Amino acid sequence: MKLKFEPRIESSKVLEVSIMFMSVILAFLIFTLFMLITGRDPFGAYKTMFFWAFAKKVGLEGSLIKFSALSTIGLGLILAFRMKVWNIGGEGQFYLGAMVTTLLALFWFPHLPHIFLLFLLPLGGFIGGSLWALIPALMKVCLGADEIVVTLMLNYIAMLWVDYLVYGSWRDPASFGFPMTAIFPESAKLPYLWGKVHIGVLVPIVLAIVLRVVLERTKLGYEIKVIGDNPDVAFCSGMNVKRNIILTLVLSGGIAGLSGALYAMGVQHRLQHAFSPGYGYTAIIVAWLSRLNPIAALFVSFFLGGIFVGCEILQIVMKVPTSVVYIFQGILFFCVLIGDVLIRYRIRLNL
Amino acid sequence: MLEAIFTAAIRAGTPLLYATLGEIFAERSGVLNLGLEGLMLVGALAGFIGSYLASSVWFGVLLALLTGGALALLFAFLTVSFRVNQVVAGLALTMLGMGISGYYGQAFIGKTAPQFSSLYIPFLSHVPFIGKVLFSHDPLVYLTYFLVPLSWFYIFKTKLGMSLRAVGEDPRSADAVGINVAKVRYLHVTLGGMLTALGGAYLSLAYTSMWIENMSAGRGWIAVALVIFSAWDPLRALLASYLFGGMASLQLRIQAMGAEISPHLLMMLPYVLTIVVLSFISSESVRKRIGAPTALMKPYAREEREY
Repeated sequence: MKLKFEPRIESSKVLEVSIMFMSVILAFLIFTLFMLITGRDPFGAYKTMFFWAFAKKVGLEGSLIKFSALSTIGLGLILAFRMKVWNIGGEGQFYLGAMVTTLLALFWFPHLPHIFLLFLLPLGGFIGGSLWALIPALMKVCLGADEIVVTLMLNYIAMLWVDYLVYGSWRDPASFGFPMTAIFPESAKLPYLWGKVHIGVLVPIVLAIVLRVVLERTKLGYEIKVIGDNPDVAFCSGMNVKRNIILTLVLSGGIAGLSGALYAMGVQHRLQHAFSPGYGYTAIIVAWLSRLNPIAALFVSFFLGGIFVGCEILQIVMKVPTSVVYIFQGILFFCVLIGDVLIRYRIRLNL
Repeated sequence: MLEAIFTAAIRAGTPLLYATLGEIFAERSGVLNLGLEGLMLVGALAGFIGSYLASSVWFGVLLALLTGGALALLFAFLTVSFRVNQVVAGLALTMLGMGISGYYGQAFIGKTAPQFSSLYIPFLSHVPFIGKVLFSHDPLVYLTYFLVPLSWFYIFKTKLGMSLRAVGEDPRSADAVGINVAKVRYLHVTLGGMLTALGGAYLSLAYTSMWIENMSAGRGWIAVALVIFSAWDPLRALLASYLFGGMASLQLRIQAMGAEISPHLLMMLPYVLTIVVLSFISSESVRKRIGAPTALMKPYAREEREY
């Protein structure tokens, strides 16, 4: 048996969308099978999940909050992935953003007026994330180091750094020994838009539009595309490939840092151990599933945010362990990857 | 004191050693498997369940090998046959492993199962110092004493090992001289997955002696780093693993003595070191000299010129 791969010369939008749609369906089919094997009622579970995540107010609020965090990181990753720079460090950059925000909100400028903090803190988060992404960017450009391993390692370092702070000098004396900082002053909290949904939910929507314009209409967007397609061609046509790699990675990390800042200001209101339930990794699925299209990324993150919330509800209502969300994400990840191959290649099976 | 530290280093280094050896096989064939963390977790749970159900540690080992092999086979199918992005597939495997072990493991938290016990080798374990350090361990540690030189011999001195290296170096030429690239990759990715899962089983059957959720605690990622340290060489992998195992146990000792070093900073060390090492060995000429597989992360297809 041999698999034969023929590259598709032209791939249409309709094909892309339908294959990605099929990947999600396939993931659900496999997941259904898994639920049946483990003796649980999958359809009851889906009903509970989707009803809570998208139709009930408290669940929908949760979905929107998670949408906001996921889509922002995802948009940052899209920028880097377009250039085929594999930034796997969204998680660490998210942590760094939240950390710098906490530093500013609790220790440096706790007394600044609300209106200043509203702009200063996200900027701080952005800078935190972009500095964290500067490390792999410089290592890639100057030393030729592989950005994948570096960003991955930096995720762990960032998480441990946050732990070091919240178990150590940043720990709130009034937290009864829990590894968390004190709560932010009121002036550092984001205003609510709807229920528990903070105003930061609008950021990814604006960002997606900006990103789309940048990618489709500007010189930077054009250069990103050319470098992603073929760095040699880009170099020979006089583009500054190195500068663009640094710029893109730093922007990408900065956006993930911004997401961390908004999450700290709008949801957690403090820094704590295990601040992120793996948003940076889920954002990789977002980028892949949306085919690196910023607008599609918004819908994909809303859907995945809902799945996150749905799995939390399952734990409460049906006593399903929360680990089920990782199983689903793992399956979805694989299915999306296969879909990606099907979009790029026509596969023939020779028996 | 020194004796105790060395003994502990070997114990703590052994799970890392299994995972590192496993990853060396996969990477030597040109496949980067970032799913080590997930494989270790599944191995740890499968080992525990096997030992619990059959009241036999060896059945636990067998079950860990089988599940690790099965998951790695799935990974090989996707990355070798379907040529999906290896990095992302590895992350997916880790997520799946975390999910599966957390999901099925819940029923086994707090349970006890038969454990590996230390086996004092006659005569050898009485040799002063060395006896205690090297020969007062459980069978899974002794197994590595054979496995490491064997792996080294296999990779560098046998014909099969040569084709393994050829596939990881230049799959096109390997294919041209009649080596079945896909077969070699399938074989070694699966073998690697089995060894990694065995490293996980060591945790639940010998090291911690119970099942705890997320018990691999980042060891899978450290093993990814150790492969780079050891320059894809099993003998150096042994040293690197014991060094890190030693660091881990030394850290506990320092803390017990009341020194004021944060465990979180010490835990950062392997990741920081990996980045430092990467910055030294990333240049093309150095990678060539230490024998890094050139075709790492590059899927291979006979029909295509560019791969």
